[in-house]
Amino acid sequence: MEKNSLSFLRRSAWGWIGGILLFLGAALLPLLFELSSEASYLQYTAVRMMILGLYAMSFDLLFGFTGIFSFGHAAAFGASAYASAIFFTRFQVTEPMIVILGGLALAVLVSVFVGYLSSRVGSVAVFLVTFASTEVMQLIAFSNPAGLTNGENGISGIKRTAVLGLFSVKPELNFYYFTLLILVVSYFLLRKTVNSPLGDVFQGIRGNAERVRFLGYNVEQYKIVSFAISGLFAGAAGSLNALHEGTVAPEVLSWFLSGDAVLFTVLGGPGTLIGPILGASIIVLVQEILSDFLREWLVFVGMSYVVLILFLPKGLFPMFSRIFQNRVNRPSNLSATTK
Amino acid sequence: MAGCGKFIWEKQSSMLLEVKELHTYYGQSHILQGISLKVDEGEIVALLGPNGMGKTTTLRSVMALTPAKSGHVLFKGEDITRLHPFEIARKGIGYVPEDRGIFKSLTVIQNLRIPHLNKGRRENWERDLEKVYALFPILKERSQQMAGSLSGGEQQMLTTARGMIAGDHLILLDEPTEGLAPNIVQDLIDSLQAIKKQNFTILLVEQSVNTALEIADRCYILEKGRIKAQGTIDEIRKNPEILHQYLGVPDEK
Amino acid sequence: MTLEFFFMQMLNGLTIGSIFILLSSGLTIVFGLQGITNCAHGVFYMLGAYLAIKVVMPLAGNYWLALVIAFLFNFGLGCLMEYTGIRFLVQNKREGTHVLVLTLGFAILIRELVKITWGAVPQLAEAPAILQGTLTVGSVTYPVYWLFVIAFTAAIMATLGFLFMRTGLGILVQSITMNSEVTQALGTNAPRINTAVFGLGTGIAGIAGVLSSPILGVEPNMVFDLLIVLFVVIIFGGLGSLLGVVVSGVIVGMIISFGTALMTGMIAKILAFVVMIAILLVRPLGLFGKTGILD
Repeated sequence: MEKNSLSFLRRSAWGWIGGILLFLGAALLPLLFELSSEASYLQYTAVRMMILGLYAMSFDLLFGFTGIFSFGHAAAFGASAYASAIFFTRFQVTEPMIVILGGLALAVLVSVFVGYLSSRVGSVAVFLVTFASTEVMQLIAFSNPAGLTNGENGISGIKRTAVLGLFSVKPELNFYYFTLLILVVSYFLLRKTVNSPLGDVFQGIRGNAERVRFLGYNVEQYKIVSFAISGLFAGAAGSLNALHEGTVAPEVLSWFLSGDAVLFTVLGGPGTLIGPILGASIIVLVQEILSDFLREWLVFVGMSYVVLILFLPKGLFPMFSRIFQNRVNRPSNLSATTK
Repeated sequence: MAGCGKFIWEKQSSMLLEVKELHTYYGQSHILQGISLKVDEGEIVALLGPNGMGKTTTLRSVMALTPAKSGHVLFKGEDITRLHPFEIARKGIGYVPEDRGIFKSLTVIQNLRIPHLNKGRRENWERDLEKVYALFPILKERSQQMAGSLSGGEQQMLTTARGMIAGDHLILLDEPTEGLAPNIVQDLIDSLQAIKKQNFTILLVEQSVNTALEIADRCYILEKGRIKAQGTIDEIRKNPEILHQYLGVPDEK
Repeated sequence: MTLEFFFMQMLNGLTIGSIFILLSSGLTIVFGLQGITNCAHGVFYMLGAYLAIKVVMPLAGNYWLALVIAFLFNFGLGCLMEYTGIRFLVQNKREGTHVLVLTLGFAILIRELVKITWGAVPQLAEAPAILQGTLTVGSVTYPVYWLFVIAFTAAIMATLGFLFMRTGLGILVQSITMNSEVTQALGTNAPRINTAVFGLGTGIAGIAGVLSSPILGVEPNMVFDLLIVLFVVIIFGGLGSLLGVVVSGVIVGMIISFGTALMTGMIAKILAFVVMIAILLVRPLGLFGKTGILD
């Protein structure tokens, strides 16, 4: 790590500049789409990217920072989606913020439960427990307990109204900005978390849990907290998804979705928070383009896991950010690259 | 002049192990910062120094268990730096790890046999076993017992014997007297001197200065990843302030 | 519940349990050796069955040949996977989760390729002529083939036990499991042994695939369902313990046999989940595990 304060300032400056550029780009994008005849579709896809990006970013906290390989991340996403749907259809709640909050509550609850089970065991069992938990939840959704989940067909008819009574998110364009706002706020909250002492403990657990234990930390509790926080933001994604799609079906609890979280994060770059958003966007894009070749889709997914983890374990984002830094820095500052 | 040259050549050819400018890292920690030492055939060389300063790491780097980032390790003149641990072992270096590293769920004789399972010199097995039993008769007594049921001293004997079988000429010993009662330590010292008489060369890492002074021919003192002092035992005895300076040993011995 | 019913279910449990034992043995030993878990293990099982049903039987019609080929093919494939992928990760000291991702990727990839090549319809094979028919003891009638599966599994496990307890190679495997570094420092080519044992495990998985093809319908989707059951078996038995896998495999086989006979699939799955959680909380080390699942 260079102690050269000038290069450090440069790096964080470029971090800010890059972030602002990204944000401006994201903010202007839908307006650009308005010019196209396919405006709604393009904006819809962009929103999907952001929702799945938020979902992946939440997984990054658990996997990239705390080092926990959960294969059941869809649990928080799906639980939140269903809770939101039930709030809307059963309890007649129309205010999107409350719908989302309801989803978050269940997501965190579920995450704490799964986290508790996972915290005391090693990585093989974590894989097993998280996978099985989500499977069971999906089974429950299919079985339509007390008529709540409507089984195979799921719950439909979720409508978007006005946020806080002021800002209608019914039009796709508006929902886009609503989602973008939530995504950006979530990013800052997560960034603050990982930079805080709590984040240091998480990363310590990832590196060497025993040493963290010797330092006096209750590792199990911190793991549960990691599950809870990542579940919170996954839940946000799930609720947004419910509002966005208008329906919620058992697919939101499938192990495919859990695997997607892994794929997005590994592709984009674990431990970067932005990387997984990039990963999700790329996959959504590729999926849209290759939708005719859906039969081979999983072959591509499987190959990606293998190739990425072997040759590109840090993901794409660190590569891009380095290129970005190199291109705008003078050659003499090449030593300022980190990761 | 010719006589001088011949003398130097002979001296070099008796150098069994040479370590040159070894740098080793644990992650970001720069543990070994340019270690150089040599061990001649038939010697017992001790590596002394405070704990956590890189003594064990030096042995581990020689065996490539913690591979060095730069530098060289030469055994019988051959560069073994980039080899795998098992290849280095098969060249004839026996490793006796810190905390003994015996296989508790295997019997004594199974423990001893492991180097042979890898070397395939089946005909030498009996001979090596006899040699070892002669030195450590208690191992013959307990040969069918689980290694985990042995006492601390017996386990140390087991791991030393195993290292002897694995290493044709050179044995790396890491803190053999650690955690042993004083009378057992004395037994061990006697055994090591007997081993030396059988043409084994030993590179010894020791926490206990007294033990080292009793058996070693030469010493290196390692502090913070560097060799700070070296010399024969006589030289060290004549200058005990070296010990005091680096090892905190009081001046009177 | 009649006595016949009870015995039938017990034999069912033993048969299914045998398949689990064969599959789990490879998984648990590799975990003991290298501390890694192969998420693609179910794939070798599937390939064994598909090779038998789609390739060997149509071409050569010989069941025994199918067993041999299933073993050899999956042994080779397993060694290849270990040598190219897993060894790379282990030697570069990557995090444990990387191996999980890698093997998961292989599992997804090969599963899809099989699906594309041969479709997703469950396949059922025919037992060889000698083994067809039933055996009647008292009032219980049982298919001969299922008894064969139990006997064959017992034979394989006995062979493995002998291999690991009595041979030189077995001693090395035990010592690598206990302390890989020291074993290497004593001259053992542990990487090569790791690869060979990995292949042995996947080869046996292939055999299990052929064995079970006349009993359970084989289809690509089972790769993950099966994986979960296998994980339960190895964790319950104690990671790294062959004996644990035998005991645990039988128990889990029994539970599934009685469970599916007595209750609906969904309740059975949820019950299995609850039981598994209880086990993990009460005894994370499993029955015979030494290091257990606490990494």
